[in-house]
Amino acid sequence: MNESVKESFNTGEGLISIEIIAELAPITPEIMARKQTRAPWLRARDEYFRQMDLENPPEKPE
Amino acid sequence: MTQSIVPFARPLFLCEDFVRRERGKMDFLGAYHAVSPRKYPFTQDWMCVVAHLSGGLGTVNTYIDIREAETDSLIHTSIPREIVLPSRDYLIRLTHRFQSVRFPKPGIYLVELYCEHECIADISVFLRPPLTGSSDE
Repeated sequence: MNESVKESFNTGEGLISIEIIAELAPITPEIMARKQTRAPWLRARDEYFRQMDLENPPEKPE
Repeated sequence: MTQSIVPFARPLFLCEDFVRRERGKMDFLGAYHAVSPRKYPFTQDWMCVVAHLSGGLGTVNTYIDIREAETDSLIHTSIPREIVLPSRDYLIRLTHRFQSVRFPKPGIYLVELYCEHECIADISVFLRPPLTGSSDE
């Protein structure tokens, strides 16, 4: 693992704690162009709430 | 009142810091969902993105994207790091610890966790309009 990734706890009891010292990357054209997807459970969540919004339009703030 | 709508549980949360304790325990400090800066651009000194993962296996890359919710525009991304998931049954407590995250203006921002370029969880954080009185939350 990279030195920015620290596995701090693993007793073999089924729990591992991983700490990443996160560094921001410059937003380059390559990063903007990378292909990203959404996990199926997030797509299902988005669709569920989209449908709920249609059936029960959210109240607009006054 | 219209029909009830079942909510979803957020698998991510944000906090300012954490402290490791004995036997795998961890104290998360300053959990928050909104920030009240005095002015913009605003820099959040510390931000920890905490996730609990299970069911994965093998070596995967992971990173965080921060987007402006209204426009979906990418504000920040972290350098991808590889983590090893040794068993599908293990619970992985994954913490990305950021220092100095800059938010350009008020609004709602999405913090998204990616594994292998697939967004697996997200959380929103509300950057309130500037306040003149109290300190940051």
